[in-house]
Amino acid sequence: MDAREKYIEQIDRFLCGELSETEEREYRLRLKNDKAFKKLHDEQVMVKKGITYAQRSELKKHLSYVEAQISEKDNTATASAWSYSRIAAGLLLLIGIISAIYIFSTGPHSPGLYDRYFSPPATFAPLPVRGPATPNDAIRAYNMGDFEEADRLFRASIDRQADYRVLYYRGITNMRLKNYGIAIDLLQQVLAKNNDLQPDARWHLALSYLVQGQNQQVIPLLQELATSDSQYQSNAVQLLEELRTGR
Amino acid sequence: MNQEQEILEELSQGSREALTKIYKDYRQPFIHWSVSTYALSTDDAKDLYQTTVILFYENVLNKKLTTLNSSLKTYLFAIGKNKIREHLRKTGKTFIGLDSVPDQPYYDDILTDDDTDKKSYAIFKKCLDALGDPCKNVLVSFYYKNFTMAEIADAFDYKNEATAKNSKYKCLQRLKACFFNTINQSDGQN
Repeated sequence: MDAREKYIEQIDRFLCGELSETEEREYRLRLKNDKAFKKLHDEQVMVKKGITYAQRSELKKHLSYVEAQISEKDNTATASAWSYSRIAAGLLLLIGIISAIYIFSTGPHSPGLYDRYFSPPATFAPLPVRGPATPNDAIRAYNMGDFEEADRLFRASIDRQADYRVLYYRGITNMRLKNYGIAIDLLQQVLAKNNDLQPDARWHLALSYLVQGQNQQVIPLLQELATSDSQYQSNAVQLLEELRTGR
Repeated sequence: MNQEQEILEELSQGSREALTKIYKDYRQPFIHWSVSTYALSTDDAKDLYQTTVILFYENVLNKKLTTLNSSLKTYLFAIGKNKIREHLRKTGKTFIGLDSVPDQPYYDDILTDDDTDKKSYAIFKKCLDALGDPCKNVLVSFYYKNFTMAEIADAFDYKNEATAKNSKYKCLQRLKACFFNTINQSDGQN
């Protein structure tokens, strides 16, 4: 670790309020007398503020989306209550519900949609693991297109490597094998843990539910992606629209 | 563990589902209370409620709130009360009346409303987004969600804490380079 890295670590600890009283006194003295250190300190303050700002913007966007959904529901309810003919409104509502059930539950177009949106990785990169029965044997089988063998080897390695990447890779492999129930179970396990594959797992979980016709499960997953900054954002928006309009 | 404490636990892990649940659960009472007590417009009430929920979330992430001495709703409304009064002050309105929501301590906001700062933050956000994953998530987990380096190493599958630290440092350098280069270029153009 070089000196600069050490200073940044110390500044981060200061900003988190983790320095002892003595350390803090020394820190403040240094801040007063060392211009280069003060510059680094100011940069770190900016980093913390900038990341806070960026995250708040994302959260605000997410909550505005939630708000829009609630407001839309409220407006529909109000409009129905004041409708000129309650019987007509009731009938319309009934038709709406039946359509919604038709679109969101049975999803006769789901396999077609699924095929258009499911674009699994052609190959997986090897994982930095060593030892017998590693997931890399399974990755090799996957990369060669032998998905059944890949699944068998992934399954054998999962006990040893309870790693979210292995679970994710095996989930995708099972989607390839059309074992959607197993894929759902595996992708849910990936989502349960905070990791960098969450958007990927969320997207493929949504597609697995879609092809199973479990469209009520699809919507919240897509909504989450639609308000995120992930690579699946635009596809999620588009798929939601297609589900809504029944195209 | 009761239900409110459970949701606090989930929030401390950075769960967006828990955040959405809180937003939905207390939205109606908050809007009703803020409109009837402070004569806010519904739009202002909704906007301030969103800010309130985000600040509540940050209180949990910053470990300023780990256990609830009063109900989650009381804590949420106390933050809301401060945000509403701040809003009334800024818009030159005065509040004459009483509200029954008790004061609760909560940490000061680190962001200002300064326009120069807002411009910098917008550039910063672009640079952060451009980093992509896992860099962006590592930095957000450390600087916003207050995860420890050990937790980051575990969540992002780094070999150990030292590797995670090294990776975080490299990501930080990339972020800073992008930000300060963009700032310098835009200063040069002005």
